[in-house]
Parts: sequence; C-alpha cells; structure tokens
Amino acid sequence: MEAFIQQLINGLSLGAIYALIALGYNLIFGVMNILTFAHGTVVMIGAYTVLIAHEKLGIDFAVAVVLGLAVATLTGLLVERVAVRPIRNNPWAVIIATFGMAIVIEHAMRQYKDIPARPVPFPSPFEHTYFYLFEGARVSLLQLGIFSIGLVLMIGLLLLIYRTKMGMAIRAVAQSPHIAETMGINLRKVAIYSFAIASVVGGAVGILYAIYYQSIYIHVGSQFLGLKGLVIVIVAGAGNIPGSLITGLMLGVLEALTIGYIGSEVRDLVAYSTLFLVLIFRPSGLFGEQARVEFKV
Amino acid sequence: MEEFELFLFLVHDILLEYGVFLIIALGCYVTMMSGQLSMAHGALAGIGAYATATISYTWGLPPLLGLFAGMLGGVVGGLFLTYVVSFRLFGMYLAIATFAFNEALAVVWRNVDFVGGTLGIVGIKMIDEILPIHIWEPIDDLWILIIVVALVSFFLWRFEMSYLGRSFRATFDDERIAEAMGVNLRRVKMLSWVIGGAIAGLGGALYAHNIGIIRPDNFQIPFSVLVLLAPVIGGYTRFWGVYVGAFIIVFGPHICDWVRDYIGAGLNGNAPETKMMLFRGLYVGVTLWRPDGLADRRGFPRKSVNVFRLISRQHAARAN
Repeated sequence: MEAFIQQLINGLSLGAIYALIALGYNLIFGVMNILTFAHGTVVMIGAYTVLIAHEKLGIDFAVAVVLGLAVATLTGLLVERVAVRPIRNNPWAVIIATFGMAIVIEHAMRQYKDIPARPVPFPSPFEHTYFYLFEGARVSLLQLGIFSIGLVLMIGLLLLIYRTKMGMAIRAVAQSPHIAETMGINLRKVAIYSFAIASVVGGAVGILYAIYYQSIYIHVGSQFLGLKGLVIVIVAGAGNIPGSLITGLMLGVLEALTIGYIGSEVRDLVAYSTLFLVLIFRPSGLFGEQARVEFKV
Repeated sequence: MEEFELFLFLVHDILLEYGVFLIIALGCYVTMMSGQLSMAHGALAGIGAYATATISYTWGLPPLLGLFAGMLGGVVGGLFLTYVVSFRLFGMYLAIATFAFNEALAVVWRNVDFVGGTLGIVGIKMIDEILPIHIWEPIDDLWILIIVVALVSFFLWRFEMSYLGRSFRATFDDERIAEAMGVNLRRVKMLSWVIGGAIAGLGGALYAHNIGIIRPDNFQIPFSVLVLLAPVIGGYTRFWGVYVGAFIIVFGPHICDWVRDYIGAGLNGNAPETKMMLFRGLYVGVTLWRPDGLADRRGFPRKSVNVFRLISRQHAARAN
C-alpha cells in the first residue's frame, strides 16, 4: 500500500507533464486538423534556453524562464510560418515538413560546441525537502511544485479556452472552419494564436520536465515527450481538451505503477499497449464522440 | 587507380543500399495505393529483417528460406495492422496509430533476449550467399538484388493494370463511391496491407543481409518516415515515382556529405550532424517546393490523384 501511494504521487507529477504536452498537440490538431511533429522540439528549446541563459550567461532563474517561454513561442511561430502555413491544405506534407524541421533545428543546435548529445544536468529552483504523508509515503517539494504549477497551467488554459473570446473563436474553428469564417473569424489569426498558446505551454512543459528529472537531452522532445503526446491525443479522442488532460494524468500514473511493480524497461510499452487496447475496444477514444472510422467496413 | 577503385566500391555500396531501400519503399507505395497512410513500414521491414536473421543466423538454415520468412513476417504484421488499426481508423488517426505500432515494436525487440535485445544480431550472411549464382565475384550481390527488384517491379507493373490495382485506385479516390461501384473495401484494405507488408518484409530481409547487422534502433520512426518520403517526394501516380524518391533519399546524404566537405568539414567537427541537417533541410525544401511529388504532376496530361487532397477530403467528409 505504501509503495502504491508512493507510485501514485510520482505518477501524478509525471502525468501533469504528459497532460500539458498532449494539450498542445490537441489544440493544434483540433483547430487546424494537422499533426505537427515539431512540437517536441519546441518543448526542448524552452528547457535549453533556460539552461544556457542561466548557466552560461548567468541570468537569474526567473528571468531565464521567461526568456525560455519567449524563445519557445518564437520557435513555434517559426514552425507555423515555414512548415505549416504554405502547405496548410496538405496535412500529409505538413507531417513531413515539420518532422524535417524538428531534426534540422536539433542538429543545428548540435553545431554549438557546448551542447552534447548526452543528458546534461539542469538547475533546480526547489530545495530537496520531503513531506511525509500517512503510512510513510513521501512527497518531495519538487513533486508538489511540479504538480501545482501543472494544475495552475491546466486551469488557466481551460479558462482561456472556455471563458474568453479568443477561446471561443478557437473552439468555433475546431467545430467547423467554414462556418466560423462566415461568422467573421480570421482563420489565420486563430491558427497563429493556437500555435502560440501550444508553444508557450510546450516551453513550460519542457522546463518542468527538466526540473523534475534534473537533466535534459537534445532529443527529449522528438524521441520521448512528443511521442507520448501523440499517443495521448489518440487515446483521449482528438479535439477533447479536458479529456486529454485526464488521459495524460492517467497515463502518468499507469507508467509510474508499471515502473514500480514490473520494471522500468517496459515503461514505454504501457502507452502503446493502452493505445491498442483503446483502439480495439473503443475506437473513438476514451472521451471522443465522433467515430473515427471513415466508413463501417 | 587506387582512388578510382575506391570510388567504384562506394558506388557499389550505394547501389546496394538503393535497391534495398527501393523495395521497402515500394511496399509502402502499395499500401498507400488504397489510401492507407502508413508510418509502420519501417517496422514491417524490421519484422522481415528479424525473421531472416533468426532463420539464417540463429538457426543456420539457408538464407533463401529467410527471404520467404521475411515476407511471411511482413504479412503477419500487415494483418495485425489491418484488423487492429486499419478497419477502425482513417486518415491522420491511422497515421498516429501505425506510428505507435512502430515504436511499440521497437520496445518489444529491445526486451526480447532471443533476438539480442538492444545489441541486436551481428554477423548475418551477406547477400551474395543467398543464391548460388557466381558470375563475377565483386558484383555477385548486385545481381541478386537486381533480380529481386526486377521481380517486384514486374509484379507492380502488372498489378497496377489489374482489376485489383484499379479497385485500389478507386478506393484511394473515394471510398464511398468505390464501394457503391462494387469494390469490396474490406478486401481492398486487407490486401493493400498484406501485399505492402510482404514487399516491405522482403526488403527488410534484404536489408539484414546487406549490412549484416540489425538493431532495434534501425527500424524506428526516422527510418519509417524516410520510407514514407520516397513515394511522397518522388510522386505518387505510378510506381516509378518511388524510384525517383528513393534515389533522392539514398543519394541525398552522400551529396550533402560532399557539400559539407566543400563548405568546410562540418561546422564544429560534428560531421554526421551537419550532414543530416543539410539532408533534412533538402527534403523539407523539396516538400515545400513541390508538395505533390517530383516525378509527376505538372507536364502530364492525364488527371493525377493527390494523396494530400485525399486526406483533407477524408477529414472534411467526417466534419460535415
């Protein structure tokens, strides 16, 4: 029981990270009906900017975080401008162009001498303090911080999407671009907004991830976090933002339990086998309503 | 003279790589012919490679048997994808699910000790040991590859003209109308995965025999995206578009290597990184420049199909 609660706590803080990254994918996918493979790279850029600004340039951590979010947003907008907007109507070309873009950015960063391919340590703003709960399970200040920041971000985003005018425009475009356009919504603007929001959140996720694991490596986005985000989008059902947040938290808990009870080497299999089970028993996704089969065959 | 021989060796190696990659990409092309967009053909090739490695290396049976086992492995993987993914999802969702299949399979290979875990299998027999044709020793392996490529190409040439090939095309254009015209969608989707899987599995088996080493990392997403790129960059109307795409993908990195030499031996000394950066930049440029593919489209009188418009149409049909 102790171990179970301990893994539950670990899983919730990991799940907050997963939920936020899935949110970025879901926003872009829901609004523009395209998949961007460069989102993981945006996440990585956010964390690396903080690292370089704080360690190499000696900037204060809080200022470095703001800088990291800004650079991540700019990268996201650059991806939108270069690899999405010109070929907006060809979702398949967008996949290939964003995938290529992601690798170009990562390899361009590797040209800089001080960025190795191996994981590098990341500074932590939290002290190593632990709170002991009942039954001896402990929660660190770090985990508490990650989870509460994640929760605040999630609530803020839900308010942004469901309570503001911009959020209403985003939801309208996600429902039907054509009707939204006839109602006077500027589709290009909405696309830029959704990319910007997704990239800010992405940058924040990258920084949270790096703080949580106290290290970061250059392919973290494209080889680890990005893949998880995609899986969560399918498991939750695309276009459902609260659903993807819940699924992200659940996946984090499931992975932590797997690490605790089976072993860390099968950790990645959890997400994929969950995906296939969901596909077999509920093809529209856990929270999706729209059937995703083109045609009953 | 020494340098010239070295150059010939290089060309020989690149040609082998080209042939093997071409076969895998043709497998992807067959699956895409019916509008099934796959990011799993790298993994299907991986199944073929592991099958032939088990047969010819671990069990010591003849490698020719391994090629057939590779095809069988590709078929099994294709059937799994048909029943679990393809009958349930469409368009982008299908792409993400096949993508997850690819990653999941890599995790499986890593954790199965029988096929060598993370280290993979080293020391698989080379291509020239597959068939006992020995004409001229330096290019014996090339003959075998040419035979296989010719067989696959002949099959595709006849296949595209056949009733089944045309029903694939009809399904690609519009599933509803195709079904109204009497095309059995279930059969078309299943056959496109089975045939595509068989060809990709055969290509994967040849891949294993070509480089002699296989590891789980070889068959992950980057490889699958390259396989997918060949039809997309090359052009989609006829199967020889894949030849152009595969040519760019196999020769592109070598050309980028020469460019890198020319502009100064790798910025910061990271030679592979610089090469990959240039190559990815090249293909992003090609995609942005001609999203419909290089080989066909403009300049051809007959109406061509467009995979991109198809996907948008599938999503638009759902939205309405």
